[in-house]
Amino acid sequence: MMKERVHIWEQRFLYPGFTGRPGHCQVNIFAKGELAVVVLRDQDNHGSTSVTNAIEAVAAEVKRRLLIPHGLDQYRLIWVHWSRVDRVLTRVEFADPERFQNPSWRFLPWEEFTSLLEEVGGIEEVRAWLEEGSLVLREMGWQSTRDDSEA
Amino acid sequence: MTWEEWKKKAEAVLRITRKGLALLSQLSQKEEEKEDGGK
Repeated sequence: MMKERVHIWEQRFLYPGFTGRPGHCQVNIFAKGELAVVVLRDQDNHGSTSVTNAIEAVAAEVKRRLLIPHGLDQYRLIWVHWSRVDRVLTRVEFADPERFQNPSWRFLPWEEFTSLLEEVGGIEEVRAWLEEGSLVLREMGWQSTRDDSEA
Repeated sequence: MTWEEWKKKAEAVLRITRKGLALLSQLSQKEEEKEDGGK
């Protein structure tokens, strides 16, 4: 296991869509110790099937193309979906984490998210993402963004 | 409605159903816990 922080990202990660056209999202993987946090970010334009609808395929592709080649597939994995489409931040869990079947979503409180990212050394990226403006639901405890203040 | 428009709508309905149901269930559970805690 790596003691140093690892950050792997792909700005435009393509995954299979339902209608033959691939969807895309940004993938960031932060790993440290034995933990890897995978953050899937859509930008309100996934080009095809959304990350939510294709989450099983997205996770399988991330594992095949990024986690396995970088030796991170045996880490404890936490999947996070930062969605501009849905305006929510969620943690995704799979009933069958090996085959990524039966996903479930739950709201991820902001404190829990930043604490996770601090643990794996990804907090600077989160600050940059906030600058882009993204999540707007103040009542769920997510930080205000430029989108929010302009609304 | 064009095929493209229909696909967009279908995609949104499925998305809201999949994630929305899970999130609603979580919110309902929290509300129940609050109510129980208030008794």
